Amino acid sequence: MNIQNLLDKYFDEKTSPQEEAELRAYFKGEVASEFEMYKPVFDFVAEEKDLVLSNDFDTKLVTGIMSDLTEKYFAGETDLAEEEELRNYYSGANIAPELQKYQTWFAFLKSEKATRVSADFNDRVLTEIKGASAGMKVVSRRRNTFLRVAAGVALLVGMLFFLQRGMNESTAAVTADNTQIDWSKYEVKTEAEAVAETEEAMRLLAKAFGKSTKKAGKELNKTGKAF
Amino acid sequence: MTLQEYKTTVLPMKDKLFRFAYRMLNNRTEAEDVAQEILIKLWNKRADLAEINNLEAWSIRLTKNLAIDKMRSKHRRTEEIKEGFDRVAGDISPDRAAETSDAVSRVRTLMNGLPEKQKNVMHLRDIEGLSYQEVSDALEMPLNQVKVYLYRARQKVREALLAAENFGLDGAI
Repeated sequence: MNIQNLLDKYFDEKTSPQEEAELRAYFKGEVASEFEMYKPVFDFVAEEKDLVLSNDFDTKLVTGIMSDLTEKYFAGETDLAEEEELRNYYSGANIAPELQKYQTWFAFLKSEKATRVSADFNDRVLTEIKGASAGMKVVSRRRNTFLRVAAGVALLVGMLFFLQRGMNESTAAVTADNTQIDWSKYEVKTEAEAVAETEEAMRLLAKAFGKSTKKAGKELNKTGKAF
Repeated sequence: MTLQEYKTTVLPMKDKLFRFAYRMLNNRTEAEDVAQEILIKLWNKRADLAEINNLEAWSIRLTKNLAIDKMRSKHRRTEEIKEGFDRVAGDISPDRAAETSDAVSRVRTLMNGLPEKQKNVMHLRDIEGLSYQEVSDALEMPLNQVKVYLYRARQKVREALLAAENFGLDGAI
């Protein structure tokens, strides 16, 4: 080890930590007369290096930070990260005596967050969900089929009912006045008359069908609303 | 949304919804019923969930509204019961008393005794860790109002804690 070289490097600020340690070790022991002048420098460095913080420095620092943070918390000025920091601090073992009054509060917050639903909660929800979904399908299938059949029956019954009623009315009218009617004047005498009579009959029939369909339609609408 | 997606995105909110309902109703069974009802409602509305901005805040809002309905119907029921049988707001239910230590129970009494809005804001912020904006969305309350309620609630808690230190826990909380 060349002390002169190391010293040159040291004062040029080019020494590594290890080289500085070597210099400090050298100046702690017997020092050659040509280097005596540097000894006070290294004695001073060694002395400064031996200075340590008091044992409770960390605790005091943390307490100060947490005290400020607690003040900030109760003033409603902390952010979520700071509140998490407070929860961590107050759930630890080394809480400063002057802050212990707040410990119960943060312990309470932590215990509240640990409150959970019953163990079978998931099963209950999922069973309800599956049951509800399955139930809805069954109802909808049944309802569809029922509606189709009901609509078909209603259409058929409606048409038959109104058709039959229309025909009964015309028959009844004819039979009631049967005795007073002079049927001879209705006798078809020519071909043209026969065509005209047939056309008239067809027209009446078509009209009767039209009415019945309308009525049947109305009844169907009512039935539809009822469903 | 498939059942699997529901299990991974919606169902995990169960404890949060339950705790909030529990805070409001102070009855475990009723709170579980509310949480269950909300979760089933979310399943039934699964087709629309993608359009919701913040599902958690929205679910909490539904929970709050349903819990209020339950409280109203409960209030109607208890009105019929002989006076004096009603528990005072802030009392600890027998369910909860058995769950935690005395000190924590007393603090819970303190929190449950806060005005409803302060209590709800404090719960969502201090227990569930929601941001001010999320609390505002969940409770349908302006952001500044959220901050004011939280400030007041914390001040009350602090006063009680300091009084507890000076005069003993039993007397203060």
